[in-house]
Amino acid sequence: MNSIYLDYASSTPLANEVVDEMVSAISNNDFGNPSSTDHEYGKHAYDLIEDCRRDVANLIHADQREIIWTSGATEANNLAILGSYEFNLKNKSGNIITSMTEHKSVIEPFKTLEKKGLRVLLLSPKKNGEIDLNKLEKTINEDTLMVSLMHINNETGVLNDIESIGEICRKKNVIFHVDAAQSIGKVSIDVKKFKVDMMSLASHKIYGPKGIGALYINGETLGRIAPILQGGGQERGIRPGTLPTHQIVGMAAAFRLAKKHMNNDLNHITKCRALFLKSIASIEDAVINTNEVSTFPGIMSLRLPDLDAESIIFGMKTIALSKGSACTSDSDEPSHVLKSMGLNQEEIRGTLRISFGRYTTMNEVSIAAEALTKIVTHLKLIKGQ
Amino acid sequence: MESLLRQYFSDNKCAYITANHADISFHIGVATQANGNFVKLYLKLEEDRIVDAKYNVSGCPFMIAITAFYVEKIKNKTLLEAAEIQDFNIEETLKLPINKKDRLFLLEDALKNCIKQINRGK
Repeated sequence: MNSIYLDYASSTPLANEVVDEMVSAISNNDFGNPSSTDHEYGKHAYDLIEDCRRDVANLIHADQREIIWTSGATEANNLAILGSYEFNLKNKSGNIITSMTEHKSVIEPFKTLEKKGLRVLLLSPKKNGEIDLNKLEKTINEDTLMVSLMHINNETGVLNDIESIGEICRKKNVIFHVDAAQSIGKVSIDVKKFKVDMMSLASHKIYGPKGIGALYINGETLGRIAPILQGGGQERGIRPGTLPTHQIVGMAAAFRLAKKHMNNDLNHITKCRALFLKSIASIEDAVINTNEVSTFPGIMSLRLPDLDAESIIFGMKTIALSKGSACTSDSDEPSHVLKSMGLNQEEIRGTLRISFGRYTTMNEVSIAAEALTKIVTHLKLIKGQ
Repeated sequence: MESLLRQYFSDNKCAYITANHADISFHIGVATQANGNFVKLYLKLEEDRIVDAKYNVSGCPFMIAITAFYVEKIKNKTLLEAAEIQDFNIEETLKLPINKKDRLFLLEDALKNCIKQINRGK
Protein backbone atom coordinates (compact mmCIF):
# COMPACT_ATOMS: atom_id res chain seq x y z
CA MET A 1 0.00 0.00 0.00
CA ASN A 2 1.29 3.45 -0.86
CA SER A 3 1.72 5.50 2.24
CA ILE A 4 1.15 9.05 0.98
CA TYR A 5 -1.94 9.81 -1.06
CA LEU A 6 -1.67 12.72 -3.50
CA ASP A 7 -4.34 11.68 -5.97
CA TYR A 8 -7.41 13.42 -4.54
CA ALA A 9 -8.58 14.39 -8.04
CA SER A 10 -9.00 10.70 -8.78
CA SER A 11 -10.94 9.88 -5.64
CA THR A 12 -10.97 10.81 -1.97
CA PRO A 13 -11.15 8.74 1.21
CA LEU A 14 -14.52 8.77 2.94
CA ALA A 15 -14.78 11.32 5.75
CA ASN A 16 -15.31 9.61 9.13
CA GLU A 17 -18.59 11.49 9.57
CA VAL A 18 -19.74 10.10 6.20
CA VAL A 19 -18.84 6.54 7.21
CA ASP A 20 -20.76 6.90 10.48
CA GLU A 21 -23.90 8.11 8.75
CA MET A 22 -23.69 5.45 6.06
CA VAL A 23 -23.17 2.68 8.60
CA SER A 24 -26.15 3.93 10.53
CA ALA A 25 -28.29 4.04 7.36
CA ILE A 26 -27.23 0.58 6.32
CA SER A 27 -27.66 -1.06 9.72
CA ASN A 28 -30.84 0.58 10.99
CA ASN A 29 -34.37 0.29 9.74
CA ASP A 30 -33.58 2.41 6.73
CA PHE A 31 -33.67 -0.50 4.32
CA GLY A 32 -37.20 0.08 3.05
CA ASN A 33 -37.69 0.85 -0.61
CA PRO A 34 -38.13 4.63 -0.77
CA SER A 35 -40.71 4.13 -3.50
CA SER A 36 -42.81 1.85 -1.25
CA THR A 37 -44.48 4.64 0.66
CA ASP A 38 -47.50 2.52 1.61
CA HIS A 39 -45.70 1.49 4.79
CA GLU A 40 -43.50 3.06 7.43
CA TYR A 41 -40.27 1.43 6.21
CA GLY A 42 -40.65 2.95 2.77
CA LYS A 43 -41.84 6.29 4.12
CA HIS A 44 -38.87 6.49 6.46
CA ALA A 45 -36.39 5.87 3.60
CA TYR A 46 -38.29 8.34 1.43
CA ASP A 47 -38.08 11.05 4.09
CA LEU A 48 -34.39 10.38 4.63
CA ILE A 49 -33.70 10.72 0.91
CA GLU A 50 -35.71 13.93 0.63
CA ASP A 51 -33.68 15.43 3.51
CA CYS A 52 -30.53 14.46 1.62
CA ARG A 53 -31.88 15.97 -1.59
CA ARG A 54 -32.34 19.25 0.29
CA ASP A 55 -28.75 19.13 1.60
CA VAL A 56 -27.33 18.49 -1.88
CA ALA A 57 -29.49 21.27 -3.36
CA ASN A 58 -28.34 23.65 -0.61
CA LEU A 59 -24.70 23.41 -1.59
CA ILE A 60 -25.42 24.76 -5.08
CA HIS A 61 -28.27 27.12 -4.09
CA ALA A 62 -30.86 25.06 -5.92
CA ASP A 63 -34.34 23.90 -5.06
CA GLN A 64 -34.47 20.31 -3.86
CA ARG A 65 -36.95 19.44 -6.62
CA GLU A 66 -34.19 20.21 -9.11
CA ILE A 67 -31.94 17.33 -7.97
CA ILE A 68 -32.08 13.94 -9.74
CA TRP A 69 -30.03 11.13 -8.21
CA THR A 70 -27.73 9.20 -10.54
CA SER A 71 -25.00 6.60 -10.11
CA GLY A 72 -22.32 9.25 -10.44
CA ALA A 73 -21.14 12.14 -12.57
CA THR A 74 -20.59 9.94 -15.64
CA GLU A 75 -24.26 8.97 -15.65
CA ALA A 76 -25.28 12.55 -14.89
CA ASN A 77 -23.30 13.79 -17.92
CA ASN A 78 -24.84 11.09 -20.11
CA LEU A 79 -28.33 11.86 -18.85
CA ALA A 80 -27.97 15.60 -19.39
CA ILE A 81 -26.65 15.26 -22.94
CA LEU A 82 -28.43 12.16 -24.26
CA GLY A 83 -31.60 12.95 -22.27
CA SER A 84 -31.85 16.43 -23.85
CA TYR A 85 -31.42 14.85 -27.25
CA GLU A 86 -34.07 12.21 -26.58
CA PHE A 87 -36.56 14.76 -25.37
CA ASN A 88 -36.44 17.30 -28.15
CA LEU A 89 -33.05 17.91 -29.75
CA LYS A 90 -33.61 14.91 -31.99
CA ASN A 91 -36.37 16.80 -33.75
CA LYS A 92 -34.02 19.65 -34.55
CA SER A 93 -31.00 20.16 -36.72
CA GLY A 94 -28.20 22.23 -35.41
CA ASN A 95 -24.98 22.18 -33.46
CA ILE A 96 -23.88 21.37 -29.94
CA ILE A 97 -20.73 22.81 -28.43
CA THR A 98 -18.19 21.40 -26.01
CA SER A 99 -14.45 21.59 -25.47
CA MET A 100 -11.57 19.24 -26.21
CA THR A 101 -10.62 19.39 -22.54
CA GLU A 102 -13.85 17.78 -21.31
CA HIS A 103 -14.08 14.45 -19.54
CA LYS A 104 -14.71 11.42 -21.75
CA SER A 105 -18.20 11.09 -20.26
CA VAL A 106 -19.10 14.33 -22.05
CA ILE A 107 -17.05 13.85 -25.22
CA GLU A 108 -18.35 10.32 -25.89
CA PRO A 109 -22.08 11.24 -25.65
CA PHE A 110 -21.33 14.18 -27.94
CA LYS A 111 -19.79 11.76 -30.44
CA THR A 112 -22.94 9.65 -30.21
CA LEU A 113 -25.08 12.67 -31.04
CA GLU A 114 -22.78 13.50 -33.94
CA LYS A 115 -23.51 10.06 -35.37
CA LYS A 116 -27.21 10.79 -34.95
CA GLY A 117 -26.89 13.90 -37.10
CA LEU A 118 -26.13 16.86 -34.84
CA ARG A 119 -23.06 18.92 -35.65
CA VAL A 120 -20.48 18.86 -32.86
CA LEU A 121 -18.32 21.95 -32.48
CA LEU A 122 -15.27 21.27 -30.34
CA LEU A 123 -13.62 24.33 -28.85
CA SER A 124 -9.86 24.17 -28.44
CA PRO A 125 -8.73 25.81 -25.21
CA LYS A 126 -6.23 28.59 -24.82
CA LYS A 127 -2.61 27.53 -24.30
CA ASN A 128 -3.19 27.58 -20.51
CA GLY A 129 -6.22 25.31 -20.78
CA GLU A 130 -8.92 27.95 -20.23
CA ILE A 131 -11.98 28.30 -22.44
CA ASP A 132 -11.69 31.39 -24.60
CA LEU A 133 -14.92 33.29 -23.94
CA ASN A 134 -14.67 35.34 -27.13
CA LYS A 135 -14.21 32.19 -29.16
CA LEU A 136 -17.21 30.59 -27.43
CA GLU A 137 -19.39 33.61 -28.10
CA LYS A 138 -18.38 33.61 -31.77
CA THR A 139 -18.94 29.85 -32.09
CA ILE A 140 -22.50 29.95 -30.73
CA ASN A 141 -24.86 30.75 -33.59
CA GLU A 142 -28.60 30.58 -34.15
CA ASP A 143 -28.36 26.82 -34.77
CA THR A 144 -26.67 26.09 -31.43
CA LEU A 145 -28.78 23.86 -29.22
CA MET A 146 -26.56 23.11 -26.24
CA VAL A 147 -23.21 24.00 -24.66
CA SER A 148 -21.50 21.64 -22.23
CA LEU A 149 -18.38 22.85 -20.43
CA MET A 150 -16.75 21.70 -17.22
CA HIS A 151 -16.08 23.82 -14.14
CA ILE A 152 -12.72 22.46 -12.89
CA ASN A 153 -10.68 20.31 -15.24
CA ASN A 154 -9.81 16.91 -13.79
CA GLU A 155 -6.31 16.74 -15.28
CA THR A 156 -5.06 20.29 -15.05
CA GLY A 157 -7.16 21.99 -12.37
CA VAL A 158 -8.10 24.77 -14.80
CA LEU A 159 -11.07 26.68 -13.41
CA ASN A 160 -13.43 27.88 -16.13
CA ASP A 161 -15.38 31.10 -15.70
CA ILE A 162 -18.77 29.41 -15.52
CA GLU A 163 -20.56 32.61 -14.57
CA SER A 164 -19.47 34.39 -17.75
CA ILE A 165 -20.16 31.29 -19.88
CA GLY A 166 -23.63 31.03 -18.30
CA GLU A 167 -24.26 34.68 -19.13
CA ILE A 168 -23.32 34.11 -22.79
CA CYS A 169 -25.48 30.98 -23.10
CA ARG A 170 -28.51 32.58 -21.44
CA LYS A 171 -28.18 35.62 -23.70
CA LYS A 172 -28.13 33.34 -26.73
CA ASN A 173 -30.91 31.13 -25.31
CA VAL A 174 -28.81 27.96 -25.45
CA ILE A 175 -29.01 25.08 -22.93
CA PHE A 176 -25.94 25.18 -20.70
CA HIS A 177 -24.70 22.02 -18.99
CA VAL A 178 -21.77 22.01 -16.56
CA ASP A 179 -19.76 19.01 -15.43
CA ALA A 180 -18.95 20.01 -11.85
CA ALA A 181 -17.58 16.63 -10.72
CA GLN A 182 -14.27 18.18 -9.66
CA SER A 183 -15.54 21.49 -8.32
CA ILE A 184 -18.54 20.56 -6.22
CA GLY A 185 -17.87 21.20 -2.54
CA LYS A 186 -14.47 22.71 -3.29
CA VAL A 187 -15.41 26.11 -4.66
CA SER A 188 -18.58 28.08 -4.22
CA ILE A 189 -21.34 27.30 -6.73
CA ASP A 190 -24.61 29.14 -7.20
CA VAL A 191 -26.54 27.66 -10.10
CA LYS A 192 -28.96 30.57 -10.29
CA LYS A 193 -26.19 33.18 -10.33
CA PHE A 194 -24.17 31.11 -12.82
CA LYS A 195 -27.25 30.70 -15.06
CA VAL A 196 -26.71 26.97 -15.37
CA ASP A 197 -29.43 24.74 -16.84
CA MET A 198 -27.93 21.39 -15.84
CA MET A 199 -25.03 20.47 -13.60
CA SER A 200 -23.46 17.06 -12.96
CA LEU A 201 -22.42 16.37 -9.37
CA ALA A 202 -20.16 13.67 -7.96
CA SER A 203 -19.77 12.45 -4.39
CA HIS A 204 -16.50 10.51 -4.28
CA LYS A 205 -14.31 13.50 -5.13
CA ILE A 206 -15.46 15.25 -1.96
CA TYR A 207 -15.07 12.56 0.71
CA GLY A 208 -18.36 10.84 -0.09
CA PRO A 209 -18.99 7.34 -1.44
CA LYS A 210 -18.54 6.13 -5.00
CA GLY A 211 -21.55 4.94 -6.98
CA ILE A 212 -23.73 7.96 -6.30
CA GLY A 213 -24.05 11.36 -7.93
CA ALA A 214 -26.72 13.74 -9.09
CA LEU A 215 -27.85 15.87 -11.96
CA TYR A 216 -29.18 19.32 -11.18
CA ILE A 217 -31.84 20.29 -13.67
CA ASN A 218 -33.02 23.87 -13.55
CA GLY A 219 -36.78 24.09 -12.89
CA GLU A 220 -37.31 25.64 -16.29
CA THR A 221 -35.31 22.96 -18.05
CA LEU A 222 -36.87 20.16 -16.03
CA GLY A 223 -39.25 18.20 -18.18
CA ARG A 224 -37.09 18.81 -21.20
CA ILE A 225 -35.07 15.70 -20.40
CA ALA A 226 -36.12 12.19 -21.35
CA PRO A 227 -34.81 9.17 -19.42
CA ILE A 228 -31.96 7.18 -20.91
CA LEU A 229 -32.85 4.08 -18.85
CA GLN A 230 -36.20 2.35 -18.94
CA GLY A 231 -37.90 1.15 -15.77
CA GLY A 232 -40.13 2.34 -12.95
CA GLY A 233 -41.11 5.93 -12.48
CA GLN A 234 -38.52 6.90 -9.87
CA GLU A 235 -37.07 10.41 -9.93
CA ARG A 236 -40.18 11.65 -11.75
CA GLY A 237 -39.55 9.21 -14.53
CA ILE A 238 -36.26 10.85 -15.46
CA ARG A 239 -34.01 8.28 -13.80
CA PRO A 240 -35.69 4.98 -13.00
CA GLY A 241 -34.16 2.53 -10.55
CA THR A 242 -34.48 1.92 -6.80
CA LEU A 243 -32.62 4.62 -4.92
CA PRO A 244 -29.65 3.48 -2.79
CA THR A 245 -30.52 5.09 0.55
CA HIS A 246 -27.15 4.57 2.27
CA GLN A 247 -25.22 5.95 -0.72
CA ILE A 248 -27.44 9.01 -0.85
CA VAL A 249 -27.04 9.49 2.92
CA GLY A 250 -23.27 9.36 2.41
CA MET A 251 -23.32 11.88 -0.41
CA ALA A 252 -25.49 14.31 1.55
CA ALA A 253 -23.26 13.97 4.63
CA ALA A 254 -20.21 14.72 2.47
CA PHE A 255 -21.94 17.75 0.95
CA ARG A 256 -22.90 19.13 4.37
CA LEU A 257 -19.29 18.72 5.51
CA ALA A 258 -18.03 20.33 2.30
CA LYS A 259 -20.17 23.37 2.97
CA LYS A 260 -18.78 23.62 6.48
CA HIS A 261 -15.13 23.04 5.50
CA MET A 262 -14.98 24.74 2.09
CA ASN A 263 -12.94 27.78 3.12
CA ASN A 264 -10.63 25.80 5.39
CA ASP A 265 -10.13 23.13 2.75
CA LEU A 266 -9.28 25.73 0.12
CA ASN A 267 -6.82 27.50 2.43
CA HIS A 268 -5.23 24.20 3.36
CA ILE A 269 -4.66 22.95 -0.18
CA THR A 270 -3.39 26.38 -1.22
CA LYS A 271 -0.75 26.04 1.50
CA CYS A 272 0.04 22.45 0.42
CA ARG A 273 0.56 23.60 -3.16
CA ALA A 274 2.78 26.52 -2.12
CA LEU A 275 4.92 24.31 0.13
CA PHE A 276 5.26 21.67 -2.57
CA LEU A 277 6.38 24.19 -5.18
CA LYS A 278 8.82 25.80 -2.73
CA SER A 279 10.23 22.38 -1.83
CA ILE A 280 10.89 21.37 -5.44
CA ALA A 281 12.52 24.69 -6.32
CA SER A 282 15.82 22.92 -7.01
CA ILE A 283 14.22 21.22 -10.03
CA GLU A 284 14.75 24.30 -12.13
CA ASP A 285 13.12 23.07 -15.32
CA ALA A 286 9.82 21.94 -13.74
CA VAL A 287 6.87 23.73 -15.35
CA ILE A 288 3.19 23.99 -14.41
CA ASN A 289 1.04 23.53 -17.49
CA THR A 290 -1.57 26.09 -16.43
CA ASN A 291 -1.87 29.68 -15.22
CA GLU A 292 -1.74 29.85 -11.43
CA VAL A 293 -4.50 32.48 -11.27
CA SER A 294 -7.10 30.43 -13.12
CA THR A 295 -6.19 27.07 -11.57
CA PHE A 296 -7.84 25.33 -8.65
CA PRO A 297 -4.91 24.85 -6.20
CA GLY A 298 -5.87 21.27 -5.35
CA ILE A 299 -4.82 19.93 -8.77
CA MET A 300 -1.35 20.47 -10.19
CA SER A 301 -0.33 19.51 -13.72
CA LEU A 302 3.43 19.45 -13.40
CA ARG A 303 5.76 18.92 -16.33
CA LEU A 304 9.30 17.61 -16.03
CA PRO A 305 10.76 18.23 -19.48
CA ASP A 306 12.50 15.30 -21.16
CA LEU A 307 11.57 12.81 -18.46
CA ASP A 308 8.99 10.04 -18.44
CA ALA A 309 6.17 10.50 -15.90
CA GLU A 310 5.72 6.73 -15.69
CA SER A 311 9.26 6.37 -14.38
CA ILE A 312 8.86 9.28 -11.98
CA ILE A 313 5.73 7.68 -10.52
CA PHE A 314 7.41 4.28 -10.34
CA GLY A 315 10.38 5.84 -8.57
CA MET A 316 8.17 7.59 -6.00
CA LYS A 317 6.87 4.23 -4.91
CA THR A 318 5.44 5.24 -1.52
CA ILE A 319 3.55 8.16 -2.98
CA ALA A 320 0.28 7.81 -4.90
CA LEU A 321 -0.01 10.22 -7.78
CA SER A 322 -0.94 9.88 -11.43
CA LYS A 323 0.04 10.58 -14.99
CA GLY A 324 -3.27 12.12 -15.98
CA SER A 325 -6.87 11.39 -15.36
CA ALA A 326 -7.61 8.06 -13.68
CA CYS A 327 -10.23 7.39 -16.32
CA THR A 328 -7.67 7.28 -19.12
CA SER A 329 -4.42 6.33 -17.40
CA ASP A 330 -4.93 2.64 -18.22
CA SER A 331 -4.41 3.42 -21.87
CA ASP A 332 -1.12 4.35 -23.48
CA GLU A 333 -2.81 7.11 -25.44
CA PRO A 334 -1.51 10.57 -24.59
CA SER A 335 -3.90 12.80 -22.68
CA HIS A 336 -6.43 14.47 -25.00
CA VAL A 337 -6.64 17.38 -22.57
CA LEU A 338 -2.93 18.23 -22.63
CA LYS A 339 -2.81 17.59 -26.37
CA SER A 340 -5.58 20.13 -26.96
CA MET A 341 -3.58 22.69 -24.95
CA GLY A 342 -0.86 22.39 -27.58
CA LEU A 343 1.58 20.22 -25.63
CA ASN A 344 3.64 17.85 -27.76
CA GLN A 345 4.02 14.11 -27.09
CA GLU A 346 7.23 14.61 -25.17
CA GLU A 347 5.73 17.29 -22.94
CA ILE A 348 2.68 15.13 -22.27
CA ARG A 349 4.90 12.17 -21.41
CA GLY A 350 6.69 14.25 -18.80
CA THR A 351 3.50 15.47 -17.10
CA LEU A 352 2.34 14.36 -13.66
CA ARG A 353 -0.91 15.10 -11.88
CA ILE A 354 -0.49 15.80 -8.18
CA SER A 355 -3.63 16.56 -6.20
CA PHE A 356 -3.98 17.61 -2.58
CA GLY A 357 -6.94 17.30 -0.23
CA ARG A 358 -8.39 17.80 3.21
CA TYR A 359 -6.29 15.07 4.81
CA THR A 360 -2.94 15.89 3.19
CA THR A 361 -0.42 16.91 5.86
CA MET A 362 2.41 19.40 5.41
CA ASN A 363 4.82 16.64 6.38
CA GLU A 364 3.48 14.46 3.56
CA VAL A 365 3.89 17.35 1.13
CA SER A 366 7.54 17.76 2.19
CA ILE A 367 8.25 14.02 1.89
CA ALA A 368 6.65 13.89 -1.56
CA ALA A 369 8.57 16.94 -2.77
CA GLU A 370 11.80 15.41 -1.52
CA ALA A 371 11.01 12.10 -3.23
CA LEU A 372 10.24 13.90 -6.48
CA THR A 373 13.50 15.84 -6.33
CA LYS A 374 15.41 12.63 -5.66
CA ILE A 375 13.87 10.62 -8.52
CA VAL A 376 14.28 13.52 -10.97
CA THR A 377 17.96 13.74 -10.04
CA HIS A 378 18.34 9.98 -10.59
CA LEU A 379 16.55 9.99 -13.94
CA LYS A 380 18.58 12.95 -15.18
CA LEU A 381 21.80 11.30 -14.09
CA ILE A 382 21.14 8.05 -15.93
CA LYS A 383 19.91 9.99 -18.93
CA GLY A 384 23.23 11.82 -19.02
CA GLN A 385 21.76 15.27 -18.44
CA MET B 1 12.12 -7.66 -0.64
CA GLU B 2 12.54 -5.14 -3.41
CA SER B 3 11.85 -6.58 -6.82
CA LEU B 4 14.74 -6.96 -9.23
CA LEU B 5 12.94 -4.59 -11.53
CA ARG B 6 13.02 -1.89 -8.89
CA GLN B 7 16.63 -2.67 -7.99
CA TYR B 8 17.83 -2.25 -11.56
CA PHE B 9 15.60 0.78 -12.05
CA SER B 10 17.24 2.51 -9.08
CA ASP B 11 20.75 1.43 -10.03
CA ASN B 12 23.17 3.95 -11.45
CA LYS B 13 26.58 2.38 -11.02
CA CYS B 14 27.00 1.76 -14.77
CA ALA B 15 25.47 5.08 -15.87
CA TYR B 16 27.70 7.13 -18.13
CA ILE B 17 28.50 10.46 -16.51
CA THR B 18 30.39 12.88 -18.72
CA ALA B 19 32.25 14.46 -15.82
CA ASN B 20 33.63 11.09 -14.69
CA HIS B 21 34.05 9.15 -17.92
CA ALA B 22 34.88 11.67 -20.65
CA ASP B 23 38.53 10.62 -20.77
CA ILE B 24 37.73 6.94 -21.46
CA SER B 25 37.58 5.97 -25.10
CA PHE B 26 34.18 4.30 -25.63
CA HIS B 27 32.47 3.04 -28.75
CA ILE B 28 28.95 4.42 -28.82
CA GLY B 29 25.65 3.02 -30.10
CA VAL B 30 22.35 4.89 -29.89
CA ALA B 31 18.75 3.81 -30.48
CA THR B 32 15.51 5.73 -30.00
CA GLN B 33 11.85 4.86 -30.20
CA ALA B 34 8.95 7.08 -31.25
CA ASN B 35 7.41 6.71 -27.78
CA GLY B 36 10.34 8.58 -26.26
CA ASN B 37 12.41 5.64 -25.08
CA PHE B 38 16.08 6.22 -25.71
CA VAL B 39 19.24 4.27 -24.98
CA LYS B 40 22.91 5.04 -25.56
CA LEU B 41 25.52 2.33 -25.00
CA TYR B 42 29.17 3.08 -24.31
CA LEU B 43 31.46 0.08 -24.85
CA LYS B 44 35.16 -0.14 -24.12
CA LEU B 45 36.76 -2.93 -26.11
CA GLU B 46 39.94 -4.94 -25.96
CA GLU B 47 40.05 -6.90 -29.19
CA ASP B 48 36.40 -7.95 -29.53
CA ARG B 49 35.79 -8.23 -25.82
CA ILE B 50 33.74 -5.66 -23.90
CA VAL B 51 35.91 -4.78 -20.89
CA ASP B 52 33.72 -1.93 -19.68
CA ALA B 53 30.19 -0.83 -20.50
CA LYS B 54 28.12 2.21 -19.55
CA TYR B 55 24.74 3.57 -20.59
CA ASN B 56 22.45 6.52 -20.71
CA VAL B 57 18.77 5.75 -20.83
CA SER B 58 15.42 7.46 -20.72
CA GLY B 59 11.94 6.02 -20.82
CA CYS B 60 9.59 3.84 -18.87
CA PRO B 61 10.67 1.91 -15.75
CA PHE B 62 11.12 -1.29 -17.79
CA MET B 63 13.37 0.45 -20.32
CA ILE B 64 15.55 1.77 -17.53
CA ALA B 65 15.72 -1.48 -15.58
CA ILE B 66 16.47 -3.74 -18.57
CA THR B 67 19.21 -1.39 -19.73
CA ALA B 68 20.96 -1.48 -16.35
CA PHE B 69 20.58 -5.28 -16.30
CA TYR B 70 21.81 -5.70 -19.87
CA VAL B 71 24.88 -3.54 -19.45
CA GLU B 72 25.88 -5.57 -16.41
CA LYS B 73 25.47 -8.79 -18.42
CA ILE B 74 27.49 -7.80 -21.50
CA LYS B 75 30.62 -6.95 -19.59
CA ASN B 76 33.47 -9.37 -20.34
CA LYS B 77 31.56 -10.81 -23.28
CA THR B 78 32.62 -10.57 -26.90
CA LEU B 79 30.50 -8.43 -29.23
CA LEU B 80 29.16 -11.60 -30.80
CA GLU B 81 28.15 -13.03 -27.42
CA ALA B 82 26.55 -9.71 -26.44
CA ALA B 83 24.47 -9.74 -29.61
CA GLU B 84 22.82 -12.97 -28.43
CA ILE B 85 20.52 -10.96 -26.19
CA GLN B 86 18.03 -13.78 -25.76
CA ASP B 87 20.66 -15.71 -23.79
CA PHE B 88 20.40 -13.21 -20.92
CA ASN B 89 16.87 -14.16 -19.84
CA ILE B 90 15.99 -10.50 -19.36
CA GLU B 91 12.28 -11.01 -19.84
CA GLU B 92 12.04 -13.81 -17.29
CA THR B 93 14.38 -12.25 -14.74
CA LEU B 94 12.69 -8.84 -14.71
CA LYS B 95 9.19 -10.20 -15.39
CA LEU B 96 8.77 -8.00 -18.44
CA PRO B 97 5.10 -7.66 -19.49
CA ILE B 98 4.39 -8.72 -23.05
CA ASN B 99 3.61 -5.16 -24.23
CA LYS B 100 7.03 -3.96 -23.02
CA LYS B 101 9.10 -6.49 -24.95
CA ASP B 102 9.86 -4.00 -27.70
CA ARG B 103 12.25 -2.38 -25.21
CA LEU B 104 14.60 -5.30 -25.81
CA PHE B 105 14.73 -4.49 -29.54
CA LEU B 106 15.91 -1.04 -28.66
CA LEU B 107 18.90 -2.50 -26.79
CA GLU B 108 19.61 -4.82 -29.71
CA ASP B 109 19.48 -1.84 -32.08
CA ALA B 110 21.81 0.21 -29.90
CA LEU B 111 24.33 -2.64 -29.87
CA LYS B 112 24.01 -3.20 -33.62
CA ASN B 113 24.55 0.51 -34.24
CA CYS B 114 27.61 0.37 -32.02
CA ILE B 115 29.02 -2.63 -33.92
CA LYS B 116 28.40 -0.79 -37.21
CA GLN B 117 30.42 2.16 -35.93
CA ILE B 118 33.22 -0.15 -34.85
CA ASN B 119 33.30 -1.92 -38.23
CA ARG B 120 33.33 1.40 -40.05
CA GLY B 121 36.34 2.45 -38.01
CA LYS B 122 38.31 -0.68 -38.84
